[in-house]
Amino acid sequence: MIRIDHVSKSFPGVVALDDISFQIDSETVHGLVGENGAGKSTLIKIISGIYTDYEGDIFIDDQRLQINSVHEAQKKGIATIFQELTVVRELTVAENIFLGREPVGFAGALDRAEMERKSQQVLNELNVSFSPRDKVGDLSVANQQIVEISKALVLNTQILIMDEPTSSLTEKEVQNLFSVIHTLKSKGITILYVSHKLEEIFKICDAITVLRDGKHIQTSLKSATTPPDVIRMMVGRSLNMLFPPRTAQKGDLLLSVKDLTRVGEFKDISFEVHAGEIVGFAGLIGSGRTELAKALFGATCPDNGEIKICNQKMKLFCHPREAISQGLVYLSEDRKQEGLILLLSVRENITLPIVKKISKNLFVKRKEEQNIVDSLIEKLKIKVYSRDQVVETLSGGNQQKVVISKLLLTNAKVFIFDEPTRGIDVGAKYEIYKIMNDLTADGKGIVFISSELPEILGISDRIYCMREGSIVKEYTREEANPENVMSVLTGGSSI
Amino acid sequence: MKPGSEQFRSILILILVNVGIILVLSFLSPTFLTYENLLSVLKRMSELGMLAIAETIVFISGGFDLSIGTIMAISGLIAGQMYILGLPFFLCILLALLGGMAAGLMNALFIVKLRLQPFIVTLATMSILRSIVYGVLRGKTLSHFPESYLASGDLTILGLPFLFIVLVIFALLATLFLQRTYVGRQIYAVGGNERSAYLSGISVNRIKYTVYILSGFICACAGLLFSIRIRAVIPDAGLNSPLEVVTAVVIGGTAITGGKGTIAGSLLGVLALFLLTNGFSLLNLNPFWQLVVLGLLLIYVVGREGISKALVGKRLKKKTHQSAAIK
Repeated sequence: MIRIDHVSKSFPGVVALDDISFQIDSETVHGLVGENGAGKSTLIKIISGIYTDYEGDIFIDDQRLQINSVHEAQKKGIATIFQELTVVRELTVAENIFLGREPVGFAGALDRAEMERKSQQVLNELNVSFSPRDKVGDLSVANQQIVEISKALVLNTQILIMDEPTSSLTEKEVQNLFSVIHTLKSKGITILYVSHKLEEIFKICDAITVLRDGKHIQTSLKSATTPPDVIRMMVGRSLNMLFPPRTAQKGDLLLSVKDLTRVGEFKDISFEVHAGEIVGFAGLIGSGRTELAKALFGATCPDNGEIKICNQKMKLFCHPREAISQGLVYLSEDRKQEGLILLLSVRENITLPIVKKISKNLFVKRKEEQNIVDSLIEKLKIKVYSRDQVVETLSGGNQQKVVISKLLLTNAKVFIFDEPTRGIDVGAKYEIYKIMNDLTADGKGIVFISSELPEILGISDRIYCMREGSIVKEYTREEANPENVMSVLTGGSSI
Repeated sequence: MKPGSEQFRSILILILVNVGIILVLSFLSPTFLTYENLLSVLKRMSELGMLAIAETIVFISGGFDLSIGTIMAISGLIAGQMYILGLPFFLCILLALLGGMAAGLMNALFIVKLRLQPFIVTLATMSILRSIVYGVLRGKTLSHFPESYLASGDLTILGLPFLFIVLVIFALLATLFLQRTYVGRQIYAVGGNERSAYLSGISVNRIKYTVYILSGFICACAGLLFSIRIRAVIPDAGLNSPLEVVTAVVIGGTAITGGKGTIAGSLLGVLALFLLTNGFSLLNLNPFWQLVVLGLLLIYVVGREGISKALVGKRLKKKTHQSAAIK
């Protein structure tokens, strides 16, 4: 039995977990659900020994858990299988299972036979068909996951935490995984199963805990709750966050996409964006929204489909330069890796996409550049002490404004904003919404991708719901509410 | 470069370092602070300074070029060999420059098309071209050049050697190119964050071609300067250049990871190196120690940031622990 007792954890500026208490019974599969940012990952990182600095206590069989590292957690019988697998692709299955604790025989030599024999034993228990001698890199992702599970079994694991284990599995592989989970349970292992796919949670779990905004909402037996209840608990907050009023008028068709496909990422995506519109794309992590945005923008090349901008058919973009020149720009969800050049100044960053245009005979027209930059700093209220300040030293909100400035300069018609408010404070968020409002009032169209349901609902004129690489539903602003959107996104409506 | 900026400060420090070396050496050796000696230092640093300019541009773009010294050797070889074959001399020079650019193009092709590491590609180019130089020269030296060409090495203008003036002109042009043109800006951007630059619509590949071809061109010019200075083409030209140049460029504040650096810094780095070398020989110290000092200097300069970061990091960690404890 695991008892989580008044556990809190804060990061600078955010309370990730706020006084959480609940109990996980032994030899059960316990589901942990919640929206993005609800605190699921923080909690499992605490239990698995990654975060050691938190308030409150965790008891395992009435013994207070004291661990300082993942390694110590493993020694206490707690193993975690993260979304990003940690197998070594170049080694064999057996070598992976025994990595770091290889059995040694005569004169310290590796006892390969023993390693393979024990591995085979574990693989047999799990009823899987690959051999301990196979190279892990040659296995499917599903089987690599089994290798990690086997590793946990060899460690004498009592508690196994699985973080979104099905995110990259096919339907059939999910079934296999579930039968492995059943086997584990019958061996007396307690499983904490973290997912936002309600369908799976209700299929495999015995009890379900819901977290929301870092708070514990409810823990109940599966039999005592229903998917609609859980959805309500996941999203159940009022839209009390402040959003600026939408005033823009819907105008001409700016962007129309038909049957856009990129194999393995998304397929047959069709949608439209009009002038003056903010079109929200809701979806859970892994639903293919960012992949779609990148392919639209030419950062990756789409396989087929049709894109029209202002009713003109475009060649599918295959380099961002082509998209930018046709008036389509993209704000990445990762501003540090994909938006800014951190070592360069605010000025150099802002004018980067147009630096060629503001040059004459190779030379950048400095006066013009300074004027452009100064006017944007004023317009977006970017807080800097000089236009030559290095962007690395700016706050998140101001960095984001620098990236938005870059896009504004390109004279684009359609803006794709991918998680534009991620990691910035509430005040700056409001300013970003206002910038989006102003853009649409100016006759631009915005594709707005966000994992935060309140802001999608609060600012979009229309909402497309994406799930597993497809658009599964379209809502108008009036039709959409947290419950029906979340239920579409989690697949809860199809249960 | 703005007064008060980090770059400005590092240039100032470099100037002080050079002044410091000059002061110390002028005390230790009576011949150091003579016009003849300083003239020879400036003259000798010209071709290595050129290579440093090339390497600085490549570093800023986030690349690496080990083939600089070899391209220098092969351009001199092309000029000399073509002249022996009886081509008009201006054509020989043209071919030498084209040869250097072709070598740069070859580097860029492998780096862009096959997505290979610049370090590995240019290491291969270095050894291939060096073998060609050895194969053609077979231990001989070429010294058949027009007299007026060789005589330019003895020219001084306003008391400064002609070769050094060529270096200064190249440095000024390269600085203008990097700081004031949009291509220069894009080179910094690609080196600073290739992904962001690409998503900003910059043709990253075109920038890489530009950088390596430009590097090849500047190294070829260095090769010509070298042949003027020593009045010949020798097989081992530029053999030690990669170590010397990388040391100088890094001392000069250019980031090995790209996105940061100045030509002025690199040249001050080269100057410091040459003053040290000169000092070693004036003081009759074993030249073997020069390479040792060079290696240590490189480790210190590259490690400097990491060392200070590690120290600061430890302190910060301590602080947060303390504040947590207070809480």
